[in-house]
Amino acid sequence: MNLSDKKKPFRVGALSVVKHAYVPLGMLSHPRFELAFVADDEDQPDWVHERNANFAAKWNVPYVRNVELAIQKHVVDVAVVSSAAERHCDLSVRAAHAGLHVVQDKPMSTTLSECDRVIDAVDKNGVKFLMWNRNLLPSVQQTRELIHQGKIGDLRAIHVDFYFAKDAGPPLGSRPSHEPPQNWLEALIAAGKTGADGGIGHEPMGELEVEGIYPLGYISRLDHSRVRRVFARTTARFHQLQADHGVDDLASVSLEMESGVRATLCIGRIGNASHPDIGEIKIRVMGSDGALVVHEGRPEIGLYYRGQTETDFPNIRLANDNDWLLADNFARALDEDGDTILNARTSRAICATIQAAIESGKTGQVVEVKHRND
Amino acid sequence: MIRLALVQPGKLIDTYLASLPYVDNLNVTAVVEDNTERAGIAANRLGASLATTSLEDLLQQQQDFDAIALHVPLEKRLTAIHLASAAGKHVFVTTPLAPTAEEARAIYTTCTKAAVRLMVTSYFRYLPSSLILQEQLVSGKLGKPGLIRLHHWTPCSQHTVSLISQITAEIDVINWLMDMMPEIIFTLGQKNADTQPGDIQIHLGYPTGAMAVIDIANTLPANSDPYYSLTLIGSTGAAYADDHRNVQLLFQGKTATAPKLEFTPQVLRQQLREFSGSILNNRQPNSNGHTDEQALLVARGAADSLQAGRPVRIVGEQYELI
Repeated sequence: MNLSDKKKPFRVGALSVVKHAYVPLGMLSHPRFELAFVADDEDQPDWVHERNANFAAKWNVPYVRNVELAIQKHVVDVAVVSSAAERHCDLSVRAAHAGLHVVQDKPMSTTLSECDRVIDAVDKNGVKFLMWNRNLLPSVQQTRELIHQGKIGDLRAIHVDFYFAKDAGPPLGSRPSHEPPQNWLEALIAAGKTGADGGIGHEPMGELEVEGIYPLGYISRLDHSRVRRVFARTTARFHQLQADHGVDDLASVSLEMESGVRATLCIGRIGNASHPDIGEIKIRVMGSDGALVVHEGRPEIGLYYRGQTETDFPNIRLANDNDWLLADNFARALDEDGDTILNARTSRAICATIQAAIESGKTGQVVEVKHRND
Repeated sequence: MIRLALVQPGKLIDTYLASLPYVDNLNVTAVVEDNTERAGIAANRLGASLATTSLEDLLQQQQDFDAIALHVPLEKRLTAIHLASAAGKHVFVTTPLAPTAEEARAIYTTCTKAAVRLMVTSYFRYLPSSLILQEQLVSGKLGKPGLIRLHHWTPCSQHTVSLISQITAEIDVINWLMDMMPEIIFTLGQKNADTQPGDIQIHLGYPTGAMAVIDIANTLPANSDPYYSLTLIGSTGAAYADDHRNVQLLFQGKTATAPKLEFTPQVLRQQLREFSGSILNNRQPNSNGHTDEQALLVARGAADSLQAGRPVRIVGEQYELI
């Protein structure tokens, strides 16, 4: 087990906490990180300030309506960015230029030029960057370990199913033609109650963009090479909101890795009714001397009781230290001037893969992934 | 009562013995094997009155049987079906019916004109899980299929059949559940999968926006159990049929192993019920020459995409490279 040495804590500034706060809470679960403030830009709307202030109040830290002022005044080491997705990179760049190490919520961005800005800022200022991910779940770690032990020989193919059994508003076909589409931002603000607000912001995002980094992170963790080209099918199959805004809630992607390994990804926001738990998430790996079928949610306990609702999951994950381990990984990177488990370059490569998949879904063509060459 | 002759059942005798007690209206009255001793042993075990060593001999003897179950290699199927249909015998044959869609269509037409039923068995369609899945789709509980994902892994073996023959059964079950043909296909995999163990992944796109991904590999270590999984994500529900759910734990020292229930007798049972039902009720079997022709068309498209490294799109009744 890897533990950071017990050294002085790192002080953290949370830059915008408008989504369900799993990233700052994950970091703060680790004893090396302590929250110093919550901050955001003055020109943000009231609902943003309200959510930020609530989080600050719960943690008994100041809420500052000026990011740069907060950083100057409170002397912190780390910025945790959990804003609307379209602001992720801008806040991360500003934090990096202020000399802060950055932990950023997913997605990195829907725009590769923004991802490049983050990489440039991180490189120029010599700071560390961690994209939040699920690569330290027990099942993913066990899969990686079995592969490294040679249990299945050389890697040949990786297949990931990543279906979130969450609703995203009214079902497809529910909007009368005379009614205008629901506003994306308003819908995602309302979704905050159920934690289904990963795509919050003005810019509509499909499931590939919102959640794709998780399963593509698994593939990257197991294969360590970038994706060379993709073929994808994308559609809005379940939810009126996604259909109205031209983004996907269901996608399938065939991937060719630079290593020669082949992969597939099937991903979707398939509705509460389509799985008793958070969703069906499986990793299947084919090697030259064997194969693995992995239930990402295990180990788990089954729990059933009267009055159990649709959103009370009957299977509860056990021994899930993913968040603490991510924070520990980040602390170790800071202590030892090492790399994080999912850094800016790999995150950018994942975003590039997602953009290529979206393009392939629209064109019906195989698309080469546009990677940085540095 | 349907009187069935088995042609070269080989090791399937045990599966027939396990399945037949569950099938009303059908019994085995004749067996053909390629040597007299084997034919005799099989007939004896099945309670069949006739054992012979060739289909031609069987047909010439004008014995009282109504249908034949053909378990012959692909290259012998068309000739055997021609003989059987000319003799007015219904036919039960393994997929693929023929090496090409065109030949499948031709033999299907021949059987139709001869007024005999031609059932092309497709293993995955008759799995208990597939039957339940289809039932739930028909009931509307799952809505319209949006995505189907299939994995089929088998132990490594040297092949003497074409890639197309290796993938038609998987394609057939997808066609059946989707109830339509794909408009676009993209295949990745080992290009010499005709003759060497390999793996391929077939990506299918449909006019409705639905999609399917098929992963087939014959690279598991020798003596491995096969693995099968089918996930169907519908517009109002989902189904997960996975061998991961069909295993128990066995502790014998070292790491626990996961013995799996074998479904082959249940599959054959369902296939024979469908076959006898189609004959007795004078209807087409659920899986027939037409459905196999469609599977072969898609398989050909998948093979062409694999060789070219590009997607294919349907144009008329054929798939052409994009």
